[in-house]
Amino acid sequence: MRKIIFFLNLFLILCLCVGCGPKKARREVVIYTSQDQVYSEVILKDFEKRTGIKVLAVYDVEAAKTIGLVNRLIAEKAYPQADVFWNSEFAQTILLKEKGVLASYHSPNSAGIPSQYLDPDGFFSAFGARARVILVNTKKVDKELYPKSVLDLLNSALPAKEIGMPYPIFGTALTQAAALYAAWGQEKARDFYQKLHDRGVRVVDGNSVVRDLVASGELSVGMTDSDDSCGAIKNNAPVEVIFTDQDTCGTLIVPNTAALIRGSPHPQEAKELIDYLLSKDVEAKLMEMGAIQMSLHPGDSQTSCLPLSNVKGFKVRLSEICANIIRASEDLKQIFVR
Amino acid sequence: MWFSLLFPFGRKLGLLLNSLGLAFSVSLTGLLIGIFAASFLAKYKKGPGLYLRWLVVMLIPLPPYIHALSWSSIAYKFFGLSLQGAWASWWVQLVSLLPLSVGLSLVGLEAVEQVLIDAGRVVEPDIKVFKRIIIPQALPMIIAAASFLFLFTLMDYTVPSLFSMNVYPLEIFAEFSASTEPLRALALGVPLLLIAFIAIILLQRPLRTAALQLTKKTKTEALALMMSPWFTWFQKIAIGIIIVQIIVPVYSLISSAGSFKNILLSTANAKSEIFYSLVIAFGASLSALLIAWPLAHRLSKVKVSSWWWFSIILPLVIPGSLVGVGLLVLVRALGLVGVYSSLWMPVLANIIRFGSLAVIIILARLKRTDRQLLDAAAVHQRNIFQGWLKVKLPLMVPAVVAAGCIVFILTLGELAATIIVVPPGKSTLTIRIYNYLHYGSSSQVAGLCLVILLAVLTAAAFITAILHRTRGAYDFPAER
Repeated sequence: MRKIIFFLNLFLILCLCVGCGPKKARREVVIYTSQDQVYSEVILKDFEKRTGIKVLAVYDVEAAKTIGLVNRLIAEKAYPQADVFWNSEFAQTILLKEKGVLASYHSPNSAGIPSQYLDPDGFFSAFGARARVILVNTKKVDKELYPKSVLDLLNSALPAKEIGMPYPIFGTALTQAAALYAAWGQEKARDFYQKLHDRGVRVVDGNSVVRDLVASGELSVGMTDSDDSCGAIKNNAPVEVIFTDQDTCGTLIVPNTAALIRGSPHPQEAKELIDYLLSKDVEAKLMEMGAIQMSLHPGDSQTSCLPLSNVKGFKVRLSEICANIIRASEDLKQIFVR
Repeated sequence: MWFSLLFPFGRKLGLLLNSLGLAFSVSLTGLLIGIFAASFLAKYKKGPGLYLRWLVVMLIPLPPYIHALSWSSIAYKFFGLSLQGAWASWWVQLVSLLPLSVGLSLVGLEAVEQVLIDAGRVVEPDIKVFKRIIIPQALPMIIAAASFLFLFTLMDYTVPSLFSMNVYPLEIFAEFSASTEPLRALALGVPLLLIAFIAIILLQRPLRTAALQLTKKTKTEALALMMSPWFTWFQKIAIGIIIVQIIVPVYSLISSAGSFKNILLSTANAKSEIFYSLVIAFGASLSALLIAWPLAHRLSKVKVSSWWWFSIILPLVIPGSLVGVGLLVLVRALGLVGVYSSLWMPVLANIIRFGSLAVIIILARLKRTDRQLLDAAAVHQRNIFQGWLKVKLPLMVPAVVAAGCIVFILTLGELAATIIVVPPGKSTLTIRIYNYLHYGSSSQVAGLCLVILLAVLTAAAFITAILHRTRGAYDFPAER
């Protein structure tokens, strides 16, 4: 009995010590990131080795749809713990800018990135992009039936029960919907999603679920992201990736974004980290790992899983897309959440 | 605008009815399976059966998402079935919560006075004894089990959304996702919270009765009940469901892990997450005990009002992310800078979420402790520490160990609050599992889930060993 009490007390003291010990004097930077840990951890460890700055990261999970980290940043606004926010998309970054969570910083490494991917006030910079794609199971669909446009998903030649999409009320699926609202207009975009719903297309919990179902053959075709598709290709699944609407309006390009947090505890280290994230080296590394499929820096890059070509994106500004998020969300909840 | 958020009309009413339907169906079937399975397991009071029966609770910390993916892949791989809709949501939600139902029902059945059963068996067949004596005696704990299943299902959207079933919490999450306005999300959540509050008010009465009822346990051994064939068949079906509920996710995890080498590799890659998960779980369970014990001690001396029970149960139904955000704001407002970015934040979050369970378990034990022993200790002890070490602490060991292990197990699987408050540079096993789930590294996920199961099995075996060693040693009928 005394031994049990002794060890119980020891663990309690250990908890106290681990949590509240004196902080070592060292350079460190705190980053919150929604980029998959399997990719972002590699990049951040590299930064540590190069600079000697200790990186303390908080990773998000897809189950929280980035809301976890965004909520945390907003809740911490008065007393920020984070220095940098690395988002794997842009909508929530723009939202954080509107809520006054971010600070302005013009990184020298953002030179050369097209202006449509930069915030004019310098509150964030975009880098390394992925795209909304359609993933096809090559064993279940004949080549001539491969969809080339999202509108082809309304084609009766493709059975509706074999088509999958994530709930278009979260994440990049919602951003894609908002982009279609911006590019096509509300009426046409709403009509498209209404027809998808009326066809009985299978709606699932997220992009990775669509990927897994198409890869396993439960579905023939699915709307997902290009990085999720790379995951299936790396696992030797019988799939092919289609960048849709290349002859017309293009597809949604989803860049990563890096932003400085207002009142960050380590501003100098934060700026060094942002400069590093925006570098061509990081873009090349992310592309090699399959986290992104497009470089926003000028010049050619190689991707490990998809044949790189100049993917045509929507000709709308990121801010225009964000302006349609609430409207798209309300409409699509009416259609899909019932 | 706010009126339309607060009151669910039209489409939202349909979603609310979906949530209620799912919650009722899961709790009712969970209740029935719990009763039959627990009545079967209650026979095993010695030997390997005593330990094996607690395998039921093994899968408590396994994320429901893992259950869902396991059943989906097994259904497609072996039967070519694509699980979708209300039936799939009901089944997976049920199997993920079944350990809770069976565990609580088992506790309820074990608390029934043997004297009453023996008296009933003299004049009535065993099946009538079960119906008229055992079930009414165990009913409070059984109702508590069904109520917990109802509440947890009502507040969840992750499993139904995986199977394309739309429920009310999905609407709340979608609103929050698009607007990040907590007040709008809270307004939408009012109908759900009202239903949950009503359920809590109804729940606190059977819980209070269950806690007090545990005072009546005796030490007498008994002959096993001889039940009707149909009853025995239902018991076997219930046990069959329990066995399948364990085998499917464990088989799916083992086959996804691939090899023992992969399990070791994923464990090695996650060693810091394993370390912090264990530190947080131990910290939460020990700290919860330090708070729960004095609180339960105080409550044991007074008549516990309904409002006290209400406030004890309430944290169990508040969404984890709300707990996290609220804790952030509170700690900063109190100026506790040292705590703000330390491991104490996830420890505190889990104490808030699960500490109430520790209070309930310890209070129940205090109610059955013989006051005469404590009075004798107070008279004869040389000093207060001796009285504690020699008498009070050994009397409380079963409840303290059980309460601590339950908080430990639940903390291991917690995600929503942890992700909000975990200090930068530190992460937990559950966060890593969900991250790798998205990436698609199923072998890593499977390996890590198996590590969690091993930790839980160890905790469950530890509880059983401690409870068995101290069983009956100090159990005397308490004063009424």
